[in-house]
Amino acid sequence: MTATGSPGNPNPNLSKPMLVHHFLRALARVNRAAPKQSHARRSRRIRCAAYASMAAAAGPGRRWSRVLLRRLRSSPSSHRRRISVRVARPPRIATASSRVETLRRLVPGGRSLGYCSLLEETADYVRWLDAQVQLMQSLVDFFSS
Amino acid sequence: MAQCIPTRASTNPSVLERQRVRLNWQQQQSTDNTDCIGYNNIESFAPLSSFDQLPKNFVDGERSRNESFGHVHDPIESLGDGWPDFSMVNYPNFCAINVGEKANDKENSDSSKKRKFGNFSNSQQVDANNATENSGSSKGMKEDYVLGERKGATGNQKPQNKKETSTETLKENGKASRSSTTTTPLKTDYIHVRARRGQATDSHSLAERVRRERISERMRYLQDLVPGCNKITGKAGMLDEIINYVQSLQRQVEFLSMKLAAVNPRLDFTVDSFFNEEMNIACNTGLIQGMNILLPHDQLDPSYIQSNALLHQAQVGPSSSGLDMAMSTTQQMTLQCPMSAPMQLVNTFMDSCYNNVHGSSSLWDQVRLNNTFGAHFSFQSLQGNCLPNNLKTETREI
Repeated sequence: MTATGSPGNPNPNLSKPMLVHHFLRALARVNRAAPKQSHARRSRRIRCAAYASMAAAAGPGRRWSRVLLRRLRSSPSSHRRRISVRVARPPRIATASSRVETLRRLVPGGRSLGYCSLLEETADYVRWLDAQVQLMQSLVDFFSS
Repeated sequence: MAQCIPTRASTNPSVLERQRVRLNWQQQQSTDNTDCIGYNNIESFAPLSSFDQLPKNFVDGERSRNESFGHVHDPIESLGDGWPDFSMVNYPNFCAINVGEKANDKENSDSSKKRKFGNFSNSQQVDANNATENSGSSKGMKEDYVLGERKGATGNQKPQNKKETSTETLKENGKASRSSTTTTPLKTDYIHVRARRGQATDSHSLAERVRRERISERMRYLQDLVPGCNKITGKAGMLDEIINYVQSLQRQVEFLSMKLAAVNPRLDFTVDSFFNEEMNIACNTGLIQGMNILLPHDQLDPSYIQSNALLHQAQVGPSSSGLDMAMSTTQQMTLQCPMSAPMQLVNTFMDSCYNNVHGSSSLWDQVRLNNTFGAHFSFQSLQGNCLPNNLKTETREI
């Protein structure tokens, strides 16, 4: 990750220590209750924990982080699949508008953003997603070695 | 003498002050005659239209007056609200001809961003403009002070006006259509924008251009973020790449979370004892000392402070509710190597996580990491027991 932020970025540098902090804490909480739960449930909890830690570390300055946190907190009991990855098959003739729509669906909170702000949010989201993936990958490597 | 300017109900007092200032400048720089005349006119200025009485010999003002005007306008620039009535007010014509040349020179300088208050340049057609404005003005406030041309100015607040040839704009309300053509009339614009030569100058196209530039700037940034986008040009391809990348990242998160769920239960997360014994001593001594260096980091969002509080609490308190996560991995590490210094602990922890993440990112310098944590630790003023719950709620799992 470069240190330069996107234009107008409230936080030019990714605070990865915060990411680690939140995610590991959440991981620990999951694992405390781990043995009793199924693997699928645990993995879903970990996935939600990943997004939650990402949003928490990014801070409230971004729309996607606010939306993510709100989503995660609002209905903890319901098994929300909103964050689940759906491979959005682009239509055969992917028009520009359909691409933009797909992007809006992918980025949390992107539905009500203008195109310019959508690009900015996407950039920030991609940065944090990248950091989160790297963190998880390193954790997996660490724990499995 | 400046004080005797009456304020009209329909005229913004600030406008009058501005003109007063302007004339003061003018006085300082120019010969006496014209100045006196100008001033007298202002003094007797109950209606703004009295400015019509100003002699046209202002047109032949010196160039120096122009430059001095640049200063005069600085305070004016901030008076955004005062402009509405000013639509037909013209600045002294003295800067007309000479300034025209000067403005012509500046035509070719281009910048297409907003709000640059340059010294205004008057057009050589000032007189013509005045004539036309005087005839066609809707406000009847045409003065010999040619501020700019206002063709068909209606006083509606159009944000921008861009003249193809003029590069300097003045703050003014209203839309100036491009009637004065070749020479550089004053552009009476609400927002100072510079248009390039030969580009459309109406407000819509200007705003469009600004918007396009912002979008392209963000697209370029995204191009840097998304790997493999360097060869792709065009919005559609870029958007496709971005979408694919975001989807792949989300898939990776899902996959890795499954792997973590499989891997984690094997680990022993009994951090409490470890934490109490080691961190209390070590952190209280080593880490805190090391951290006192720090300037407050710019990342002072509440989560940081909360995390600091949590860390602090973890150091001093027996209940290490928050730091299980950190301590779990550190415990694994300390199982192999006895913990010597708290700094080492933090470092090894961070290193194990981050060395895989970044090869050589400066962000992961040990010093940087220490500083980061140190900045947080410097908020030791927070009581140990504060905010553990907040931290928990932040990453509550489903």
